[in-house]
Amino acid sequence: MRSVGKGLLAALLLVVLLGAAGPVLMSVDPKGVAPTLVALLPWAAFVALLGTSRVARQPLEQALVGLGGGALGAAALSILSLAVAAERQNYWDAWHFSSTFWAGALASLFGATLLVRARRDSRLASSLVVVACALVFVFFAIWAWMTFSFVQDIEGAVARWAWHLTHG
Amino acid sequence: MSTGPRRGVLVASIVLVLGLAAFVWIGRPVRAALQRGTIDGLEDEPFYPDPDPLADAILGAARLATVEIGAERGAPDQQLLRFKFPELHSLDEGPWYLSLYVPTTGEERGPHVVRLASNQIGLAVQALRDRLPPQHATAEAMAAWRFKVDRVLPGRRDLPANGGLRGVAVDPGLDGIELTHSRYEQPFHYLPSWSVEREPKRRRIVRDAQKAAEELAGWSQGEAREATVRAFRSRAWVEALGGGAPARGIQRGNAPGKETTKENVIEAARLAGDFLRRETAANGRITYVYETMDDDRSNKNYNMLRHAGTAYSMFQVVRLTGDDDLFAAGERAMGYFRSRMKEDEAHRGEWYILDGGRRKRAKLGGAGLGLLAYVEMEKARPGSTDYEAMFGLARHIVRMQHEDGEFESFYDWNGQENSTRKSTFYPGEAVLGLTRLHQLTGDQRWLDAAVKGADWLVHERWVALGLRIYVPMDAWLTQALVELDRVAPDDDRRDYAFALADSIARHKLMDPDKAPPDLLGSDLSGLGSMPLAANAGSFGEALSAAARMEQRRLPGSDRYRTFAMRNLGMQLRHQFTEANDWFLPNPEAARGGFRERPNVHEIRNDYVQHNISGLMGMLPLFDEAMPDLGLQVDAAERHPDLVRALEASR
Repeated sequence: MRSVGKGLLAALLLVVLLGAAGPVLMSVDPKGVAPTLVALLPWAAFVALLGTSRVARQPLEQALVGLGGGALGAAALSILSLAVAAERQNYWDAWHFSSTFWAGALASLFGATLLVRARRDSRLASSLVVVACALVFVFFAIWAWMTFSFVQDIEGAVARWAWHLTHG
Repeated sequence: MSTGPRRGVLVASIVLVLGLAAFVWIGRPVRAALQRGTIDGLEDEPFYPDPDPLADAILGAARLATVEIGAERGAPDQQLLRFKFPELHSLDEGPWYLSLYVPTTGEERGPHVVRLASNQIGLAVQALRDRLPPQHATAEAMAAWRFKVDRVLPGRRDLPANGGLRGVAVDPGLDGIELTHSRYEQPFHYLPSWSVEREPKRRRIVRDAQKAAEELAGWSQGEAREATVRAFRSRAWVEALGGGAPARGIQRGNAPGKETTKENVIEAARLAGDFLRRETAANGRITYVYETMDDDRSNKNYNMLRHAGTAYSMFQVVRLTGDDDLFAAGERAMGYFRSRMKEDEAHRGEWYILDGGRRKRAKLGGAGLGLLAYVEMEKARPGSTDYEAMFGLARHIVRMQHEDGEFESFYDWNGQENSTRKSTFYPGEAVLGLTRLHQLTGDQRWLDAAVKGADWLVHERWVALGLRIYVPMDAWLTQALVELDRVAPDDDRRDYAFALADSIARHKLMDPDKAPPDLLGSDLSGLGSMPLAANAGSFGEALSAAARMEQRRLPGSDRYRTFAMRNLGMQLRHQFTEANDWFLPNPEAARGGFRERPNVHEIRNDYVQHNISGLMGMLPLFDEAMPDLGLQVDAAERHPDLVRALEASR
C-alpha cells in the first residue's frame, strides 16, 4: 500500500475540524449557537472536501475523501437532529435547515460517488460503499418526506402501527 | 487470509455494529412490545360490556340497601333483596366487586371495595358505611354515593414485575393487576378502572397496585413487592343516576360517549359554557386549572392568551344559546383582559396585552386572541364590545407585520425584549383575528393584512432552497385560511389549509377497525402516556374548518368530514358529564369541563375553549342554520356604535 500524502492528510484534518465543529457546538449549547454559523460550517467543510478531492490521486486517498464526505453527511444529520431536539425550529429560519440539509446531502452523495469509483482498487472503499449509499438513501428519504405527501402518509402509518404495538 | 474473506469479515462487522446500534435505539421498545399480549378466551369480549340484568340487580340492591341503612332501618336481608331483584339468585362466584365512591376529597373518597362472594349485598353496604366517618354516613350524604360493580373475568396474563419498559406491558384502564402471595388465600385485585381513576403514570401502575394492596388489604410492603403480578380484565358497570335505570357498561374508567349528533354537540357546548360561567370569578379571572381529583383550583402561571381564548369561546356559546349569565361572565373576563392591556406609548391608539409573571411580554398571540374575543363579543351582542380596545389590538397586529407579510412574535414594549423566537401559532391567531375583524367591519385594510400574513405563512414559512421543511399542525391558521377562502378565494391557500388538516389527521387514530373504540379520533402518544384528549379540541377546530371548506369547495368528498366526526367523538367522550364523573370528589364542579387525557383529569381553561370552538365548528356541518363562525356581518346589521367607531378608526 502506498502512503497517503501529508498534504492530503492535512486537508482532510481541516475537513474533519470544520465538519465536526457544527455538531460539537450544537451538542454543547444548542440554544446559544448562532444558526447562521451552524448553517455555514457544513458548506465550508464541503468546499474544503472538494479541494481535497482534487489532490486525491490514489484509490486509498479517494476512499479517505469519500469517507470524509460521508462523515460530513452524518455531521449534518446530527446538527439537524440536535436542532429539532432543542426545538430550534422556533428560532431558526427555514434556510438554516435547508442549507444544512443540502450541504449534508451533497457531501454524502459526493463521498458515495468517490467510494463507488474507488471500490475496485481500495478495500476501505469497498467496505464503506454500502454505508455511504445508506447515508445517501437517508437524505433521499428525508427529501422525499418533505416533498411528497404520500411519504408523509407512510410515515404516519408507521407511527400509528408503532402506537398500536404499544397501546391497546 | 485472502481479500474475499477479509471483506466479508469487514462487512459482517459493519452490519453487526449497525445492528447493535439499531437494537440500542429500538431494542427496548420492541422488547417492551413483546411483553404485551392478550388473555386467552377473551378474544370475543366486547370493548364495552353489554347490559347485564345481574349487574343491574346488584347495583339496584346496593342502592336499596343504602336507602334503608341511611334511614336507620338496618341492612335489608338477602331474602328481601332476592325477592325484589330475582336476578340475584344467579349471582356466581365471579368474583364480583362492589365499589363505593364518596364524593369528597381525601381518603374517604375511596373507592371502598367489597368482594361479593358471600352474596350478602345488604351487609356489604353496611360494611362499607361502617368504614366511613359519620359525616359521610348520613342519609343525605349516602344519597350522593356512587356505586360501580366489576365482574372479574377468567384468564390471566403474566406481567413483568415492573410492568415492562415505561409500563408498556399494561394498558391503563383496561388491565387490572392481580397480586398473589402465598400468605393470602385470595389474591388482591387492583381493578382496571383504578389505573385511570387514581392517575398513576403508566410505568407506575404495578407499583400503584402494590401500594393499593398495602392500603386497602393491609399487606406489608414486602409482601406486595414479593407478590406474583398478573394482568386480568373485568366487565364493569356504574349505576344509573337516581337508580332504577339499567346499569351502564364502562371501559377504561369511562362511559361509551354520546352519539355524534347535533343535539349532543349543542348540549356539550352548553355544558362547557356552564362550566366556564361557574369558573369565572367576580373580577373576571377564569380558573386556570381545576384539579378535579383534589377539587382544587389554581391560577399559578395564569396565561392571558388562554384567558382571551377562553372568553372568545364563551361568546361562541352565547351565540348558540343566548345565555345572559354566560355573556355577563364573558363580559367580566374581557374587563379583566382590558385591565391588563397597555397602550403603545410610541404609537398612540395601538394596544397590546402583557402576559407573564415577573417578566411581562407583549405576545402577538395575545393581541390575536384578544381581537378574536372582542369580535366574537360584538357578534354575540351587537353594541357590546370595547371598540377602542378591539381596533387598538388590530392596529398593533398590523404594526407587528413586516412588508412581506411575516409577523414578529414579540413586541419590544419596554426595550428589554430580545427574543428571536418565532411562534408557530401566534401568526395564525393574528391572521384569524384580522379576518374576523374584516367580517365584522367590512374594512378592506384588515382583509389585506390578513391575506398578506396568510400568504407569507403559506408560501414562505418553512420554505427555502427548494424544500418545504414541514407543514405544522397549526389549527389557528387552518381556520383563518378556511374563512379567508370565503371572501378571497385562492387555490394555494385552500390547498395549504387541507395540507394542514392532513398533517393533523396523519398522526391521529382514524381507523375504526384498528383504534380502540374509546380512542378513535385521538392523537398518538408516547410509550408511557395516553393520548391527549385536550388536543381533540384544538384539532377539532382545524378539522371541522377543513370539513366546512370541503363541503363548499369539494362537493361529494367527505374525507375531512369523516376526520372531523371521529375527532368529535373523542371530544364528547372526554367531557365530564353525569355519565363519567362517578369517581370525582366533586362531580358537579367538573361537569362540562374537558380533561387533559383519559387518565389525567385536570381541566385547564384552554382545554375547554378549544373543545367549545371545535364543537361550534361542527354545528354548521349538521345544520346550516347553526351559528356561522365566519359570519360576514352585513353593513345594515352593524350596530350604530360600531359604525361610529369604525368611521373614527379610519
